[in-house]
Amino acid sequence: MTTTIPIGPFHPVLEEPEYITLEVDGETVIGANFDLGRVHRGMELLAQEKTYDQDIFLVERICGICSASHSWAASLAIEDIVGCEVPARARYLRTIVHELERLHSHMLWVGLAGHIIGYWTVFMWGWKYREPILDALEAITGNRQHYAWYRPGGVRRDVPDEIWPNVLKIIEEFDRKTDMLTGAILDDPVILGRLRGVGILTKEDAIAYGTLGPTARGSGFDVDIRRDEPYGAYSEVDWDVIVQDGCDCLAVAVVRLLEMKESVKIIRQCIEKLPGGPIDAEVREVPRGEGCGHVEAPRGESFHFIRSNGTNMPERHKMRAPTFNNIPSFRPRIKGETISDALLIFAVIDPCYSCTERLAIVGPSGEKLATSKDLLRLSHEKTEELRKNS
Amino acid sequence: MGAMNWGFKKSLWVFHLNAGACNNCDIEVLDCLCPKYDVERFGIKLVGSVKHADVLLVSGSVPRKVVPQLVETFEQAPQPCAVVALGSCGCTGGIFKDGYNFAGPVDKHIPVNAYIPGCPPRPEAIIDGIVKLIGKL
Amino acid sequence: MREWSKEVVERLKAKFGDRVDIVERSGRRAYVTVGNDDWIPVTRYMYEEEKGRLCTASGSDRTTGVELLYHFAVDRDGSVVNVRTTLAKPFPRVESLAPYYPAADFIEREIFDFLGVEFVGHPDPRKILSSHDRPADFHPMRRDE
Repeated sequence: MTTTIPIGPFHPVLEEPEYITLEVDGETVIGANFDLGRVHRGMELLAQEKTYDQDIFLVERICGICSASHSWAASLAIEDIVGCEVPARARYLRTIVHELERLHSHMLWVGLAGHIIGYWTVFMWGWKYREPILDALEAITGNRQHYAWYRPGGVRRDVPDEIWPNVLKIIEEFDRKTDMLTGAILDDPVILGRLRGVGILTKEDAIAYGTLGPTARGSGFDVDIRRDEPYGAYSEVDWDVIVQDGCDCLAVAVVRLLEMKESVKIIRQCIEKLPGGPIDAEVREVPRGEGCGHVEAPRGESFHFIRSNGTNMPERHKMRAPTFNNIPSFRPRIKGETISDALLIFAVIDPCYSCTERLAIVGPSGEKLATSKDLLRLSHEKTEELRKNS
Repeated sequence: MGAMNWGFKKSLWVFHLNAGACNNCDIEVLDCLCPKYDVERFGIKLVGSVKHADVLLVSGSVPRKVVPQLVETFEQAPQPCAVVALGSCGCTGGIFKDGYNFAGPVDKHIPVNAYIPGCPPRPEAIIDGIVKLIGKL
Repeated sequence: MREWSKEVVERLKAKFGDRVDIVERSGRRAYVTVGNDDWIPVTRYMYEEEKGRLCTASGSDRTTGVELLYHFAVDRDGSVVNVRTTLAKPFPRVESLAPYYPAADFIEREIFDFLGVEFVGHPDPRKILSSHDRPADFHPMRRDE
């Protein structure tokens, strides 16, 4: 007999309101359903009523974690219509902020994954190491998040050269801490036991579902916009795309951990090579036309499409965040897994609903069997069990 | 100072509810709990159920679909339960107030005791807001 | 930076002839306009033969009708090929791509939700984002009401 388990809308682990119903047979999950829209703020319609300059501030607020990616993708779309060349210094400054954002986003995910499997130390470590990155972002852009850094044609402010030694110090320190954390995580038999072989997404499924970012690269689907359609300074620095063939949760975690090393490499080279000159191409007018821009956000590709009718407001502004493509891949991942792994498998795509509901186990007749905390407890108990047996 | 206030002073349990926020306020709330700010040393901690909470922290611009759950969560909270509207969206609707799906701000649906503005408010601002709230309770 | 090879555009021209109208733009973008009947053949060709990745789809309400624009990224080329068709109002309907390509599932539900486009053959044709208390014919991005 199948039972339905609602997860959400307000779940203590996943910060955003999301509502998933799992169909389970005993302890095995056989299907999943989504009810989205609790963070739907009507942004595409709002964007049509705002000028291009205001639009950038709006798209920044799609998501707090990838605010740099969305504003960059929207800027690229506008630059595609205008056809302007962005000055070299602006391209490098944009890349630095974008990669710093990736560092703090991946570290945040590592912390949350630790929280879900009941490793509080990983959670606290991850979030502690993330803090200096936010300080670096604040030093460069003036805010910890929502940087207001990008604008069509360039960046909004210039940065004095004195801050770079400090930023370099922060990322070198971060690099060392990442090495330590990566070693600790990949050495731990319990964490490996929870992640290895869990939540398989085959390469065929990854391609068919159009997954993006680390979710795709953990399944051997080699897609990275930074390399495929180089923007910013990515074609001028030396770095590698991390691809793993494991197809399971571990592979995705490894992709994220190793990607942080690559990001540090990119930032280091960008700061060393940072050219002088203007920071803005001064886009004054947006002619009639259509433009697309996409960038590789921490979770995958952010895509923006803008149609201009020659006025100072876009006629259509389509924005798509990576999670929108990644959520459906939860279905093939979850099939045949146990309930205690459900949260982990869901978290492995690093869901970000603002970019795109309560927890109770309800029996066939609708009686409540367990609450949200029980699911988290189940997950923690599984880790405890593995810990004892290892 | 009554017994209740004396109790709140050293142990304030917070339930955090994201009502259509962009995630930033929520991350800054979690940041407060992490080693750099570490509000747990003052007895402030996040709880998983509103039934255990003394403070309901609401962030986000409250889209239409989330309203029933927001009101229901508030009704399930044991009294006294202070409500804090977090961030520009929670306080006024911010940049989303003209959106067609906007049904907020928070104080349109549930009574709010304290407002912490900012986009996002810094962890220091959140801690400051909570401290001022304790003084008011 | 690699040169944009434009091979995809050439092959599209060769295969579909004058049934497709292709506008190339600098910045590695091509806009392909097709009739309603060629919609599924062209989009399926883009996915199955050219291995294009469906980034997303935009729908917009224009004076001529409801316009669908599917954005296919051709990653080996670093380009984006946009396939466009215009559906007649007031009841726009078109065959769904989702049975052939699961990535189109969510975005077609979103376009149905916002613009009221009926996707024939969609495996799960429900609204995706709108609040449940809205009427069934509530489509916020339609401009005719």
